[in-house]
Amino acid sequence: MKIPLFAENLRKTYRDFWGRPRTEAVRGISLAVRPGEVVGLLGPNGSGKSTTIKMVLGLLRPDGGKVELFGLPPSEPAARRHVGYLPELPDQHRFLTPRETLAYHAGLMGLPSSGADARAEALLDRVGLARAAFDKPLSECSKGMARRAGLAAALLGDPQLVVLDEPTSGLDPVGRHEVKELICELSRDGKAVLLSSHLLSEVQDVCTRVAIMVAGLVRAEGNLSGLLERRDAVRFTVSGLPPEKEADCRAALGVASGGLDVAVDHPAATLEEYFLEVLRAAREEGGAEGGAAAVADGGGAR
Amino acid sequence: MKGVPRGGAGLARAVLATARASALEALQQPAAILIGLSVCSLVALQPLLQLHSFGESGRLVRDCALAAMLLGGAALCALCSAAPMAAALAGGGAATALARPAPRAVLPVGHWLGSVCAAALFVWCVAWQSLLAGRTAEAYVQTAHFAGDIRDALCGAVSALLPAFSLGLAAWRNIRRGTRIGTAFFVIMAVLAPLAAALLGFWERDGSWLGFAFWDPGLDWRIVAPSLAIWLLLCAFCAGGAAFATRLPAAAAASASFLPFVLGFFADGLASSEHLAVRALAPLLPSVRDFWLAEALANGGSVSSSALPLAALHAAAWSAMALAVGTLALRRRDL
Ligand SMILES: Nc1ncnc2c1ncn2[C@@H]1O[C@H](COP(=O)(O)OP(=O)(O)O)[C@@H](O)[C@H]1O
Ligand SMILES: [Mg+2]
Repeated sequence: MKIPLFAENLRKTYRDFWGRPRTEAVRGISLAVRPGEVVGLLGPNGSGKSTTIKMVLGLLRPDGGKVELFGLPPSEPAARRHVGYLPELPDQHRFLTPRETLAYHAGLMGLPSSGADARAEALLDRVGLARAAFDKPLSECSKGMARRAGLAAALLGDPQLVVLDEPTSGLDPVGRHEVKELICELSRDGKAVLLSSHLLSEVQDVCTRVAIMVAGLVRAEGNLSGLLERRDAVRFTVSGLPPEKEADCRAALGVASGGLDVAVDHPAATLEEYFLEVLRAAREEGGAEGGAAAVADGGGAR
Repeated sequence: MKGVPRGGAGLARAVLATARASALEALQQPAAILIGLSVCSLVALQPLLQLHSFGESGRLVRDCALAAMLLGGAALCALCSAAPMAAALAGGGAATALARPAPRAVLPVGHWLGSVCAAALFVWCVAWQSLLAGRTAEAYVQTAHFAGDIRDALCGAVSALLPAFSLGLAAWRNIRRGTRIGTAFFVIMAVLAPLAAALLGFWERDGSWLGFAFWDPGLDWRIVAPSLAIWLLLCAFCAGGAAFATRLPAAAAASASFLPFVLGFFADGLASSEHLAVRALAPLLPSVRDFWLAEALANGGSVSSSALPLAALHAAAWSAMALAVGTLALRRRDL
């Protein structure tokens, strides 16, 4: 099978009504998501996460670079056949109920209507929506309930690639936990997941890889344990050490461990520490703000 | 990697799903309910308001009803086609829809179809009200007990109360069961109006009981053809609204969709112009005269057999052109 998502050197500049460049939202981003992987796009508000996701799905036309979904350009409907997308704003069709929202999406996917209701109920149950909310218009649902309905819509048709833009925003702690579980479940099932978030704990708990975005650029990328490992520190773990020997050990660490099992590793920073460090470095380097780079000569006031 | 169908059937389902959502949203707008309620009521009240007959009983009532159908329908369609589409584009609904394996054309075509269905419901309701108004209008009647000019008071009362009653029933259902008030109003109205017309067939125009054996609704069915023509014009109108909404916000798109029609009133004049450039412009406009068949009914006349097929062709061509332009405009748009 072709790799679910491959993006190379994506760039996007938002322009104003007259076509003048306004905001350089994304400045050369490369991404790949393979089956079973959960990739997190992490970054402060306005760093270009949603812009990247929309380009990946063919909703925004990149100014440069290349995207492929399952080996096809995303502008082709066939490329999006196995993709589920949860947008940042979950409640677009506010007059539809969650059940109708799923029916609408099933129609958009061209799924037949036979068995649609059972399928919708199973999905809504899976994302933990209360049964009482199934037939309430989204305009009367809470943000978290609408989010869950959106998530169910994203999972319709058993997508091989699931793209989630801030999946847990607006959810209660229980909901957050459930969504995290769901994402882990998806990855266990061999689905590829791309999610964006500014919530570090979320990313830390579910992602196999993260890309930290600042001002439209990926500043750090890799395996989570690799990123968080502190190369400048060494930690010895000695199991079963009697208290009276501790002083000796401290005195001659590594030399006089007396044949005991000494584990040596690098302690991990918390993701929060690491994230702030990357952000600080980015600011010092380029004077960049947390968000997107404004185009210097945008042509006057907005 | 299977389970999701491709090809024509899938595409048709995508268009229908969009149309359904769009029609639901369109009819749910308070403005749509208001337009439906006021046009249906206005048509029912015509026999009371129009005192001239121009030598033909019910003519002015009929013409006014058709005019109300056209203008109210145009206002409704501007709302129905442009507003849901523009809202979907501005609010991200369009992005969610187009992240699905559906080509971009699904959006304008689906919204057009949705508003065409909404327009059909509206025209159906208003046409039945027009039929009832035609029966109510003052006419010479000769029965066993009476001869002279008379208005059908019973029919008038029923058709005047029908819109308000339908809205009340829709509101009651909304309170009790949470059903959508907008759709419920139009659907109840669409069901009750023909039912009322059928029941009134058991009464004579002077209000006397006809008996089951002599059932006669006494409706002037000639109004059906002009109503259909108006619906065809509204279809073209909706296509314009959907096309403009691909690039303009709701209010601007709704206003802009009136433009071709205002110009359409002059299409005949343009077509007979001396200048080639002006003449070439005429086919680009929906000539409103082709869709206004009320004149043909004057003095007992009827619509010529070619008028409706011509109007349908005209509407189809214009809708196709507008939707093609809309799809092109949407293709390059960032969502
Ligand atoms: N439609 C738009 N028009 C102009 N600028 C935009 C638009 N959408 C986003 N931006 C700008 O692009 C930058 C990145 O936005 P976004 O991708 O939404 O960030 P994130 O999702 O990481 O919070 C922001 O500075 C934002 O102001
Ligand atoms: Mg975002």
